[in-house]
Amino acid sequence: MSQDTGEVPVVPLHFDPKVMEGLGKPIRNVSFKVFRYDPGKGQGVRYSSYEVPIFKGTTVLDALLYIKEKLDPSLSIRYSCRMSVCGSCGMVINGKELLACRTQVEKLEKHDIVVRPMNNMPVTRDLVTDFSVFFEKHRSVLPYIVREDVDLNLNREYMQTPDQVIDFLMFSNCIKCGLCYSACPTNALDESFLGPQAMAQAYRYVADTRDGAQGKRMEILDARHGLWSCHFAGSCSDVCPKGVDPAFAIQQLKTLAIRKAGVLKKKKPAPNVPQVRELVPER
Amino acid sequence: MRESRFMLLQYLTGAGILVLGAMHFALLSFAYGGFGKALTFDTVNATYLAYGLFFELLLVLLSFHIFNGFRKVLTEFRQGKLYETAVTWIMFLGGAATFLWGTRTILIFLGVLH
Repeated sequence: MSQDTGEVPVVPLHFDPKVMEGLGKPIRNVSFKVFRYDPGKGQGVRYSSYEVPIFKGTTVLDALLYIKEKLDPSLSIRYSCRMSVCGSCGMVINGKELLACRTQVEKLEKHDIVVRPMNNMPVTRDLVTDFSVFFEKHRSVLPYIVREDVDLNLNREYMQTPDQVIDFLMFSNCIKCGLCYSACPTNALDESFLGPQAMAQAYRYVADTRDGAQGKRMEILDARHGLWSCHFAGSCSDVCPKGVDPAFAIQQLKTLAIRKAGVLKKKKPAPNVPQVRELVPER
Repeated sequence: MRESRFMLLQYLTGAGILVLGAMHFALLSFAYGGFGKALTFDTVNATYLAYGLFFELLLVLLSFHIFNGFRKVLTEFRQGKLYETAVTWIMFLGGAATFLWGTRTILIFLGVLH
């Protein structure tokens, strides 16, 4: 008979040596071919090759920082958070738009990796692109709640059900990394096209019941180089690192523009109430 | 006119062309006992007016669909206010000319014009 001694049984830990593989020493060397362009030097576009030792979990950003630190300090890259939150390190890696910080070199399963700046944006230097036009288009769709009937100084809150939040929640995950804009084939051809990011953000506010400027926003979208220039390639949704589906948003906006134009006109923004916190009794 | 109105017409005319085009093909191939018989003097004579109106409707749909489609494609290739206005007007005039010339042909076919 076994006796309960009250001691916690010790379970021996069994490490699979494969789990530890590549943590202490490099797994292999990978060749990086990196796009280089310095307008100040007038050298034109070229690719530089570097050999980078890869450990388990090494990301493309880690590899680029290794190049910058140990091999070539003149390499320019833009990055910040290193955890796919800020959206600064978007680039084209082996032909696909990806965030360098969330792309593990090992998972690319290639011995040669080609890194170049994003498409559809002017290159400032090396892998850094100019986001001015991208943000200009983002701003043009009024990416904020507009309420002309409420004095913003009154500190009001707007009533909204959880179901109404779900309608636009996915689109508020956008980190403005520009990957969808780079992957969009229409943007490659039509410089004036608003692009998937701006339109997904427009839908985020059109679908938000608290907003009162759907009509104004639809006027901007339902114009030449707006909604109707999207050919539904779907590459924007394919590359989004945050699971946002801009192609879906654009199709929804098209439906609103044609089939539900009357519904939008009659739509009244969510009722506003005095700040909810004031209604909760003090403890 | 808003772009959505143009596109709604584009979709509707596209669907119409698909239906009328299929009918056109079916009438020629099957309705009168094959392609050869569909174009005999008697068959053509018997279906004159119906064919004339049918073609006129197809012409209206095609004149809009083709030239509006061209306008859309050409304004995606290049941008600029002057260029886009020019493309819009040229396509409008092209559509109108196609419609008028086609109508003239159909009226001759119907025997209204000589």
